[in-house]
Amino acid sequence: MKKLLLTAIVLSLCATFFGFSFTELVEHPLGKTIVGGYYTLMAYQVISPYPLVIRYPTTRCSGINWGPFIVVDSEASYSSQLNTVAHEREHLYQNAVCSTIIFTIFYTLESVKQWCIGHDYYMDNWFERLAYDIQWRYANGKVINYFTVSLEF
Amino acid sequence: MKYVVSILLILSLATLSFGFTFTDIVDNFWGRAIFGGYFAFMAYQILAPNPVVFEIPLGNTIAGMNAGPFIVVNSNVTDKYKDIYVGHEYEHLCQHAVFGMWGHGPFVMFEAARQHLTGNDWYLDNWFEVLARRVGDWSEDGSLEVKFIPILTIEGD
Repeated sequence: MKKLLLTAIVLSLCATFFGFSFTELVEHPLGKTIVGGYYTLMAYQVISPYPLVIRYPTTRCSGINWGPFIVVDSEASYSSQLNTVAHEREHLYQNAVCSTIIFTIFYTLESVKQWCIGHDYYMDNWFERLAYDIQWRYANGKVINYFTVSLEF
Repeated sequence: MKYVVSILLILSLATLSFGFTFTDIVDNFWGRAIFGGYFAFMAYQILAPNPVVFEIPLGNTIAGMNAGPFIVVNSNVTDKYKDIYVGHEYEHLCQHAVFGMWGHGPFVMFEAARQHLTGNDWYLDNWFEVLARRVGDWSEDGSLEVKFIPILTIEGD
């Protein structure tokens, strides 16, 4: 997510300082691949009932969402992976509805707000609470028939 | 565009007010149709050699407009200028693609306010419009490959 935001900022700064138009940025083969690929993958993730999930062996966190990508720890138990996918897919939908840049800004502002009023910047973050709410529903069997397509590394 | 923003605003307020999650909003038929359709159409507009253009009568004051993935050109405009206006609106579509659904509008409004406060024209001197006019000019001199290919034409007066 941070990298995507950084890319958008760098592209915008390039456009500003070097006089590139956004058409030049997007019509460039690399720009077309990144931006076109982002929208194609987001469309797939939103429309398909079988979201694409990358399973990666990591002990640093149970899962992560970055734009249209959902990554889960392949070494966690299967039920834990399902719950994590539900959590990260909620972030993906937040990303889809709010748009990447605005979601990142809102998420950061919400973290700062919670931290400033003495709450936990992560656990009390509204976006995280919604994601944990969905994760809790999966854990309690309120949402069923969830499938994943996995890429093993 | 106003309708899309209104719908998104209502959805967001519903989320805040009634405790819906974003999964509740997107993970159903209408959510998939609206958001999935938006992303799929944006992907097509960017990846296809030429964007889908709707040709609709817009009166005598508007040459063309862009709303998200949609490009509309006034059917009253002569063929000579249609490539120029498609180039102009395609630049706005690319700006929208980079900044995102919600990101583009506020940046355009801030830039318009900045130009107005510094004594410039809020529209003509707006950085996003300056870039779009430049891309439109490339259509005129033939250096832009994006061409006007209408998908839906409604003839006007």
